[in-house]
Amino acid sequence: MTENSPNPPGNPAAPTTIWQRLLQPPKCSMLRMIFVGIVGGIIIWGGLNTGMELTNHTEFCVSCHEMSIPFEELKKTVHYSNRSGTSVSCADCHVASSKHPVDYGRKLTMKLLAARDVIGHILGTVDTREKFEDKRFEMAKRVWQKMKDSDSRECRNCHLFDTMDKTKQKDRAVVKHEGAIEDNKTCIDCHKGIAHKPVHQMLEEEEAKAAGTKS
Amino acid sequence: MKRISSLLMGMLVAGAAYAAPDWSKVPARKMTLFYPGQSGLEWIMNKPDHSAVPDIVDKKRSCAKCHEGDAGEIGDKIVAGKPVGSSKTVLESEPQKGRAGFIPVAFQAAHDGKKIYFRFEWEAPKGVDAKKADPKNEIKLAMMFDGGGTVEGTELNGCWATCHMDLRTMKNAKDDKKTKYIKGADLASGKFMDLIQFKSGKGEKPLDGYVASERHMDGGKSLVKAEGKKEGNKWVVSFERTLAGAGQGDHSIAEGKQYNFGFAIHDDYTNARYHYVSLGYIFGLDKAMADVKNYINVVKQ
Repeated sequence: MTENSPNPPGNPAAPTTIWQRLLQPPKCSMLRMIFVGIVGGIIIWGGLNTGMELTNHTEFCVSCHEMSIPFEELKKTVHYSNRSGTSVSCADCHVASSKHPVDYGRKLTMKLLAARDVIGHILGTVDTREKFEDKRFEMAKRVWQKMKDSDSRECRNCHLFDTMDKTKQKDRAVVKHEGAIEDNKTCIDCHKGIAHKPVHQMLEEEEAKAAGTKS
Repeated sequence: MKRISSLLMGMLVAGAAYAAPDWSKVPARKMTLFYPGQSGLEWIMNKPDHSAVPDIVDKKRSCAKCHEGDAGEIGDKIVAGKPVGSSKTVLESEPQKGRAGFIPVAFQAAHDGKKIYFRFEWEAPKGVDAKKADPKNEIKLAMMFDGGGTVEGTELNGCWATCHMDLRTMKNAKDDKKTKYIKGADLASGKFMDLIQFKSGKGEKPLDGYVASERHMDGGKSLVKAEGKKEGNKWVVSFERTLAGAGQGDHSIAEGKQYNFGFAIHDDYTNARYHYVSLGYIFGLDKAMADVKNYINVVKQ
């Protein structure tokens, strides 16, 4: 508010600051309002989703140097390179996907919680190979639990029991999957350690230790 | 007495000559005999080596249920000295270059109410340039079967009930003469495996023995014939055995029971564990069991 602001006689003080302008009703047509609203909405919503998508790209994940460790491990597995040329990105398994069934709300929530990873990067929680290896088992357990809680939703985005061609599977696979359906098991129960350096053998050691101390 | 027994023998031989089944009418079961290395029963039942232990113990899954399709792959890995599955141990400490990992065998069985006939046909794999452990016999084929559920575990594992890590040439061997055995064997209650063997050496006789607390290569009186012929590269071996077991270590084979069996081929003058083995299978007389994967129906001809 300046002393030189024009003040037409008979009118209340015309808004000059942005804050004042926002709180006053607009002096424009409904059409203009709607149009601006729509454009603004598209920019915000589009920006939000573009941001989500861009931060789901593998390049973004690996831009934190710590993530090059699990990425190099992934490259050696069939989930990265295989005869059919199909490949997963980090987000396909680690960000709640929304293909089967559509669950946008969960995807949004998980994305926001992923801010924790940024904090970790800033704090340098696993910024050396040694620190990463020390925390590997703990991180793996967290991921396994997440996957189990979601009934391996991320796996099931691509792999479905119903569309498995049993004639192309080894006997062992057919038998185990039939058993899994019988026992209501979820993919991550058996298929641990398929994308990064396997540490699930430490689970058994942990259980054995716990059983040993209990008895 | 000698005259009567030789007359009886003559009749038996004459009877046998007319009784061989028409094998073209008997369906063949394709089996993959694989190189097992040192995979004794204790290795099989050790979870860190064989992750399927809970399936065996809790779900009573037979070996063939999971492994009939990949037995050849497993044999190839073992014979090359590579670990299999989730195991970190190597099952062949001294791999021989060029040794085949498996032999596909066509197995047939039939009976005529008095005798049971088994036939095995396979292509001999390429031999390797190695010292002959058994220079007399180019091949040996042995089959073992229990008395119809009399040896615990054989309905799942066939011969593995007799194979242990402390046998001669195995990983924990302490006695280099220790032969196959069954834990808690008991002849009286039928807890033993009847063993019949063909040896290809000139002048070798058919062997009818058994495996109880140790292996006996004699005692049986039920193996009438064990013949083998090599045509080109193809081997055909057949057994003819009375259904009624007559001697020590002989099981009688009758309708209404399922007999757990397995067989192995010692190829290329080998001995001991250097054989190719079948998974555990089951046969029964004139009874179809479509839901049992490793079951073979022996039909009367």
